[in-house]
Amino acid sequence: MGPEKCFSAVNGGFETRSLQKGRSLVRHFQTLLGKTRAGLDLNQFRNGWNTTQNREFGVRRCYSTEETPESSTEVEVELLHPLLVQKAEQLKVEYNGLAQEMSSESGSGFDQVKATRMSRLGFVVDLFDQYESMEKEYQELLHLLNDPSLKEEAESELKSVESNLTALTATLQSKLVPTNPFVDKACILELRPGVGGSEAAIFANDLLTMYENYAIKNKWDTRMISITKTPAGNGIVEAIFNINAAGAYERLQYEGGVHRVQRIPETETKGRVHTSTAAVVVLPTEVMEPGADESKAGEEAERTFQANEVRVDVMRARGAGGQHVNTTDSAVRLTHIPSGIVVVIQDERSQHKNKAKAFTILRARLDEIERQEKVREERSKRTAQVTTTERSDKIRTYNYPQNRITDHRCGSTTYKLDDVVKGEINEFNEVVDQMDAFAKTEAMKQLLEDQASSL
Amino acid sequence: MRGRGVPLQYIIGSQPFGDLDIKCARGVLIPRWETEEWTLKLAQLLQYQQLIEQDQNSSRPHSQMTVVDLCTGTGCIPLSLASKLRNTVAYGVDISQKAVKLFKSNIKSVNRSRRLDKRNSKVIPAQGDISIDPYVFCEKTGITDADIVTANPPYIGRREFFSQTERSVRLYEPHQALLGGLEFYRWIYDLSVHLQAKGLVCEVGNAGQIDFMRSLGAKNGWSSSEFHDLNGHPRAVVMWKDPSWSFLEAL
Repeated sequence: MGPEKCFSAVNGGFETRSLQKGRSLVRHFQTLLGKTRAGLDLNQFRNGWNTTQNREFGVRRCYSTEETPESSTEVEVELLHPLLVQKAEQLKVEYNGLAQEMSSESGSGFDQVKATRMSRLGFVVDLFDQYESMEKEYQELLHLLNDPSLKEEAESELKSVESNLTALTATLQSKLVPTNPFVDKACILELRPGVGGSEAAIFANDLLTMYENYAIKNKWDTRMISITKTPAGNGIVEAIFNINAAGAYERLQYEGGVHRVQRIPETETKGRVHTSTAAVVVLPTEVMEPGADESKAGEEAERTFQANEVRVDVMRARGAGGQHVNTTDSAVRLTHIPSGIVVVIQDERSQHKNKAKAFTILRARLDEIERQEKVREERSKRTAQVTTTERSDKIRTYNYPQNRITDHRCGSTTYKLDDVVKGEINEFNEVVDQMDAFAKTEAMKQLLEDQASSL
Repeated sequence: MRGRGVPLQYIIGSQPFGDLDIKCARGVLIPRWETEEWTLKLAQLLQYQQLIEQDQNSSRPHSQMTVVDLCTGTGCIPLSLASKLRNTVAYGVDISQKAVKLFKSNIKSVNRSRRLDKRNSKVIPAQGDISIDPYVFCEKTGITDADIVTANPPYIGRREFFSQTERSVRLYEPHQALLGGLEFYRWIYDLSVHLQAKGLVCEVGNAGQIDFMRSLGAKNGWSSSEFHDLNGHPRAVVMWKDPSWSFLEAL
């Protein structure tokens, strides 16, 4: 039997590889737990499978290079980890509760928050139902194998069920593993050039365009909070950009960090390739209702601070003030005293609005710091050294001559730089999905490990 | 024009004030951010108070609140209070005909999005001179009583006017809205007493004016506090007669 293709791209190509890797890890931990149900030995799994990458399509396929024993009754399907099954059941209960609530209080109007939660849960619950029924089918087929008269039919059936079940398990797993608590949130992106002078400023602007286009193509509501251009006008010194859409943070959460570019800059006269960087900070924020005015959000953010925690300075504050002067300078500077974080906003004519914006940003920055601290704390509990999803220095390289983007955290490479930089949804999503799968695998690994140590 | 010192707001024709965009025109004082600051804070306090009241007697409909703003100019103060509070009648009184005209057009533009109607609030413009006898004043303007009186009277002294004001303010903004002294505070206080106001918030230019107001009120049992702006300058005096209005102290 030639190489048998038994696992094809299910989740948009890129995810497949990482999931495959993730599954092997899960299996590893299941072995540790002594809970392996059925399937290949870990080493066999490692040695017997090769992964190749089809660059043209950006799809990785897995081929088996070993002969599969035809009469094997050993089944190579892995089922959802019992802990995850438990979790899925909990979610189902919550979903049913929500569904009942929604239908009973239909008179009191539409609750956006609940509806979002429900639609998100609905997806998982749906998958889980499919999974359960398929698992039942699978078990029945296993039974049939014992019956010599039906064996052949059962075997052919098993094959399709197996591959479906495997795919389903993978998808469910990635949905069930705890995610960042901010996934439903909107986000603020902050971009600043790093090393590389005016080229870095131009690159930061390119990144900004990429995110803007991506948001627009996703039909997300966007708003520039503050932007400072370079004198030449083709780069940015700083840009703060708000995407006001639920789930925007989920897609962009991995963008935080240093992005590196390798290309021949516009400013270069001798045709040499330069390397420059730009830094991106991603902050989760609350989604604002379309009608709500931003100053209200700012006021709410302001209320979360103690009276003496933030110092508010207004610029050009000389003289008697009041009726004596009429200033059009409305810049506001906030200093968060405990952390020393400073936020300056000056692009609205209204001081009140600038203050509101500044408070929104300050709140978002502090929330992000808090979140990172939490993650770090959890991670420090672990003994095993793992690669992290943390915003370590350089996260991604954009190599223009090769039309290549490499993510240094998950080690994935795509050769569709031009489309990604244009913010094309599919291409950009591919990059994000790859990172997402990687991060989720890491999280799952930790989850299983933590459970193991607590058992 | 900017080079000659014409205020930007007169050229553009507007100035943001809280969530509102207030129209500005020559001959009427441009709203200041200091005024914006205390007005918004006051609106927040009153809003909160209305909520508490509603909680306490949920069976009764909203009690009505009457705000009287003196020396209103563009009308930024009554407009922004009325656009945040429910069941509110906000009067704005100014001596200048130009100001009242601008105020009327501001009411129209603010209510274009039915901001005021939705809250069952009303803003009523009136022309009046606060220096005349309170009885005559009330008769002329049709105001009978008030829960809270606010004011941003002219408070720059003649000497200060030439030494401390900005050139563009001196040259382009109406002197009538800038030059004034303690007499304005006395008129405002007398009117507040006559209208049986429970609270009074009045912008000031220096600490002396605060002391003057506080000493006036103290004789008749008014409690008071001061408000300092973001620059730390004394900016408003806050007084209340009714102990149930002591929440104003939080301003």
